[in-house]
Amino acid sequence: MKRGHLDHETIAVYINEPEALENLEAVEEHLRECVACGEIVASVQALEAQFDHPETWASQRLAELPQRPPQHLVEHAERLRVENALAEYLLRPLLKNEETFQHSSIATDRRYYTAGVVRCLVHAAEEIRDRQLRFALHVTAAAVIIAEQLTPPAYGLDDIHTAIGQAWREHANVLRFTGDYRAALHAIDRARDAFQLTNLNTFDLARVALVRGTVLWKMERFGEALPLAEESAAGFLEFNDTERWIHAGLLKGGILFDTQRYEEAVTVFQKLLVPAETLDIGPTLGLVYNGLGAALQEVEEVVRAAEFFQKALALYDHFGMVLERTRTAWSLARLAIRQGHRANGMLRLRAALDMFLAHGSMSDAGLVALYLAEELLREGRITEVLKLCEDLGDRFTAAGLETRAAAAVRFMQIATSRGVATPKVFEHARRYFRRLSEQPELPFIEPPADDEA
Amino acid sequence: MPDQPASTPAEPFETLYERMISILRFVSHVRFGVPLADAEDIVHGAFVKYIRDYSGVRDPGSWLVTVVANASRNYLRDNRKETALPFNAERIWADPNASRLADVIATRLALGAAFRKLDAGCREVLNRFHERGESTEAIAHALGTTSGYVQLRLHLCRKRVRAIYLDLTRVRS
Repeated sequence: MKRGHLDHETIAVYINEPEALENLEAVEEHLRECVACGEIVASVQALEAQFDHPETWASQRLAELPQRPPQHLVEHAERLRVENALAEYLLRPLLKNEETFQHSSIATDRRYYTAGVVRCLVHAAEEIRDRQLRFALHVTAAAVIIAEQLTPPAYGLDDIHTAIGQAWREHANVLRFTGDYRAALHAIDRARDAFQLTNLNTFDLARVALVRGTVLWKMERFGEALPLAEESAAGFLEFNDTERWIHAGLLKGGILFDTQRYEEAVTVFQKLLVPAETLDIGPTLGLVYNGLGAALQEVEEVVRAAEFFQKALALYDHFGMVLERTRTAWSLARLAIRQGHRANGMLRLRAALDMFLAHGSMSDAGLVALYLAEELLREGRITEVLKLCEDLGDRFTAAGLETRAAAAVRFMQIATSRGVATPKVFEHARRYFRRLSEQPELPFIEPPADDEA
Repeated sequence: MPDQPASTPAEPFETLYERMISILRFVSHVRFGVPLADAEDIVHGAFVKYIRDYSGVRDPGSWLVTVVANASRNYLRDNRKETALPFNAERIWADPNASRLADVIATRLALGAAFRKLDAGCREVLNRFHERGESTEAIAHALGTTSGYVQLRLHLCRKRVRAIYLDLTRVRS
C-alpha cells in the first residue's frame, strides 16, 4: 500500500465509517506518509463537512432559478449605456477646454438635460480636478444645474435624487479643493439630503461622509470630522473599496496630525502604506507618502520623513499635481531648516510661495509667507521681512484682496517695523490665513492692542 | 475628457450578472433568510443601482454583495415580526477572511445544486443524516429497513454527490 495510493472507495469508508475498515491501521500509516492521499482525504472531508450545514441544503432551491439576467434588466442596462454614450458624444467637444465649456449653452440647452450628462460631467470633473480646478468647478456647477432640472416621467424619483446627489457631492469635492469650505459644506449637505431619498444608499452615504469629514477637517472642526473619517473607513472596508478606504485613513491621519497626536498619526499612515503600494494608484500613494513624511517629521524621524517626501514629490511631478507637489515642497523646506540647512530651506520656501501665488492659492501663500517671515526674523533679517510683506501686499492687492490677505500682510509689516512681531502676532495672522480658505470674504481684523505685546 | 468613457463598464453587465447572481441570492435568501421572491427583488435592485452608477465602483462583486447584505439586513429589521435576524447577520462581509467566505459560499451553492440532481431516495437519506442529524438506526426505523442498508445507501449517495459536485465545478472552471 505504501508504494501505491489509497483507492477512492477506501478513502470514502475511512472518512465516514473508519471502524468498518479491516485494515484501518495500515490505512492510517499510509496517510501519515503519503501527502497526496492526505490531501485527497482533507479535501473530501472539507466537502463532506458542508453536507451537515443547513445553508448547503437551503441552497438547493437556488439551483433551479435562472442564471441569465431578466429581459427588463438587460433593457435597462442598454438604455443607460445608450444614454451615457449619447452624453459623451454631446460633451466631448465642450470638454476640450475650459473656455469652450464656459461659452457653451450646456446649462440652458434642454438637449443636455439627461442623467447621462450629469454622470458624464461628474466623471469628467473627477478626472480633471487635480490639474484644472477652476475648469472642474464649472463642470460640477453645470452638473448641479442639470441634475436639478431632471423631472418625472422621464426619470424615476430614485434616478433623479441619485443624479442630484452625485452632482452636489462632486461639486462639494471640487469646492473643498478651491478652499471654499463653507460652500463645500452646503453642497455636501445637499448631496446627503438627496441620497437619503434613494434606495440602497449605504455606499453613497459613506462617500458623502468622507467628503463631509474632509471639509470639516479643513474647517478645523476636528471633533466632528474624526467620527466621519472612521465611519466612512468602515463603510469602504465593507465594500472592499481599498482606494476610498485609504482616503478615509488619510483623513483620519490628517485630523490626528492637526490635533498634534503625531504618534497616532504615524500609526494610521503606516497602516495605509502597504495597501497603497499594492493598489499602486500614484496620486493616492503620493498622499500616503506625504502624510507619513509629515507625521514622521514631527516625531523627529527626519531621515525617514525626507525619504517619504521625496517619493511623494516624484509621484506628484509624474501626475502633474501642482498644488500637492507645492505643499510637499513646503514640508521639505521646513525639514531642511529643521536639519540646519537654512539657506537651502529658505530658497525652497520662496519657491513654494511663488508657486502658490502663481496658482491663486492665497491662503497657502499667506501661510508659507508667515513661516518664511518667522525664520527671517529668527536671523534678524528685518529688512527682508519688510520687503517680503511689501511684495506680498502688492500681489494680494492686485488680486483684489485689499481688506483681506493684503491687510493681514500690512499688519505683519507694521508689527515687524515696530519690533513687536511676536509669536502671538504670527499665530493671529496664521489663524486668519487658515480661515481665509474657509471664508474667502473674511476681512482681516487686527488683534486687540495688548495682544501685540 | 476622461480616458475611460463612462459608458464602458470594465465587465459587461450580463457577464457580471451570471458571475454574481447565485452568490447574491445565497447572501439574501440563504444567509439572511429573506423569502426567495423578496430576495430576488433585493438582488435585482442592487443590479439596477450598479448599472446606474458603476463608474464609482472599484470592485463590483464585493460592492454588490455588500449592497445586498445591507438591503437584506434592512429587510429583516422592517419585517421583524415575520422573520428573525440570523445569528451572523451583522457585518458578515467585514470578516477579514471574506475571500474564504466566498469560497465556502461557492462550495455550498455547488453542493446544493448537486443535491438537487440526486434521486429523491438519496436526497432523503442524506438530508435526514446530515441536515437533521438523525442516526442511521432512526432513519432505518423511519424507512422500515435496516441500519446496514442505510449505511450503504449513505455511502453510495455521498459518492454520487461528490461525482456530481466535481462535474458541476469542473464545468464552471
